[in-house]
Amino acid sequence: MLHDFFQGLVDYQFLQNALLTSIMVGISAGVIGSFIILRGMSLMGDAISHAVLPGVAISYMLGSSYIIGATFFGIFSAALIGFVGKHSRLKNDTAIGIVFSSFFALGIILISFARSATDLYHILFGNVLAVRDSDMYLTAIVMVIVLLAVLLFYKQLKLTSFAPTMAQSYGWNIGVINYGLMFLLTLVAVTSLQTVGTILVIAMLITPAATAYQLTNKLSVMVGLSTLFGVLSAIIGLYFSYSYNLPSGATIVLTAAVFFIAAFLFSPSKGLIQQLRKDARSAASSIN
Amino acid sequence: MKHKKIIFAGIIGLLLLAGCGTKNNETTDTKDSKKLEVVATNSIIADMVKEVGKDEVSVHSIVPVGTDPHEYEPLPEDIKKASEAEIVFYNGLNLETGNGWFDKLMETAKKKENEDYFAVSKEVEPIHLTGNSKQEDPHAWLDISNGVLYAKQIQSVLSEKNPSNKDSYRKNAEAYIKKLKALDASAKEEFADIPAEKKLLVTSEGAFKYFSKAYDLTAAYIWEINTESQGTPEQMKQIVEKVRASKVPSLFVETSVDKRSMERLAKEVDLPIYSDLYTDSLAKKGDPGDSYYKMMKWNLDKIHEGLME
Repeated sequence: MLHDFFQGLVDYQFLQNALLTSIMVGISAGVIGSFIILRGMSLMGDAISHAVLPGVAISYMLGSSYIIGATFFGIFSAALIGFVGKHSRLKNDTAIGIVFSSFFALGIILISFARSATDLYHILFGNVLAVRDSDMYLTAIVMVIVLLAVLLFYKQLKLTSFAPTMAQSYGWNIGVINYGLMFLLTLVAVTSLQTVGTILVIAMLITPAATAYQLTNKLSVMVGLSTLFGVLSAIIGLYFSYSYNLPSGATIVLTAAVFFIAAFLFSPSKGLIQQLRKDARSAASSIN
Repeated sequence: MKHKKIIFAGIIGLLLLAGCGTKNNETTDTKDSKKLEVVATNSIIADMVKEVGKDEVSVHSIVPVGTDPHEYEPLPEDIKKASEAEIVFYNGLNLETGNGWFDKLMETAKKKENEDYFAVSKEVEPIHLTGNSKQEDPHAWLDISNGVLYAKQIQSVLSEKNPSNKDSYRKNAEAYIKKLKALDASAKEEFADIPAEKKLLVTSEGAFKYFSKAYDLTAAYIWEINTESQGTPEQMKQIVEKVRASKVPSLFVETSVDKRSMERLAKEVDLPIYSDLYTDSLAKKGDPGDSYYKMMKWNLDKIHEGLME
């Protein structure tokens, strides 16, 4: 069966593109995802990938590329979420809920005005098997930008994630670092949305990073592991999808979830089984 | 006290707004009040009703041009028009059952099947889906001889509901059907000269089964129904193999679907996408396929040209 998969990769360009693109999405989302979940902003990816809808409709009406309109609205919504969260007593999740549902609704209304011949929602449900070459190159460019930005500003991102007050005492502008991260997140969300669809983007941003977090306390290791799990999910998911004729995006998502379940149960330090054993031991010692 | 005043003023304001709204709607309605009020679920059926009813009917089409009729959320105006309509025409054959919007709409509008709302595909002999043999393929209108059956069904319902204009409906329908049959006959003649090894019609959705049967082609597609467009590798694999095994010179893509899958396929087999085709909806007014006749003519011409390349 493994042989069939390799033969398929040789025979079909669509499969090559699917594999390469999902691996690249796995890498960029894995890296960004680690910072996102450490800052308690897991839902941000979800919010941004829905909030881009008005941008898609406006780009269609103006006849320009979806990427530009979508990126603009993605960043705008991220900024708005930050602004509402900062200047009200609401917590971040509430601000996310308000902003992304409003933007999505605005998108629905704009789409009904656009009267497009094709269904504009399709942008939210990209198909990993129908990746165009140009989309694949764009995904590659975004991956390089993400990796470079994280390498250059690793120290800043690390400190603002773990000890924001200390970072502030260094005189760093936390807001700028925050918005920079949001910008990267939007880039990843928007490009991968086009190619692999909403569900896969959200899963790739959160699940591999969460899996890595179960296994380590060191940020650099976490980023590495998260990327590794993202890439493995892409490869194994696509392999199962090809061998058993399953929808590809969904299979990749479930593969990532299986990794998480394994880490959740069996992690040597934070796993459920380890915890139960500890509880049992302490209960036993307290009886003695 | 102050708060109460504000709330009171607010309520008055809202009532005034609401009043303006209904007033406007009434004025637009009274214009056509003498005509038979008909609602059709999509632009293709609406166009046929206009051809048969001409000046005696006023037609509202629910699903807008370019929108997928499988899944649709009716707007307030659709519900209003459907409630007021004397006749509602729908395609049937599962076209409007995607998310059950049509059944819900008819229930809301308190309409009864075969009394108030009628399937235009009643006399059509259905083709079933290959993936699920219990379900009928909705795209019957893409075979013109089924379009003729639709027109006859529309004529019979209009005549029954509005007997005083019976003769004019018959006359319009006869002229329309003659035009359609002429197009059908000339297309059948033309399609006969396509070499057998090129008689493969490749589209994204499997919407051309009735069409292919009528014009002696084989329909090949990436996915069978639009709800399956989140595809599996197998879907792509089978279509790539099919195209590679044939000598088909060009591919086609429907106006109403996401083109990326077909573009991927075109790259894969290194063939051009020859043209857009109209399936679930007419074109925007002014574009080449803005009536059922013109849309079918466009499809037939382009497919013939493309396969003769």
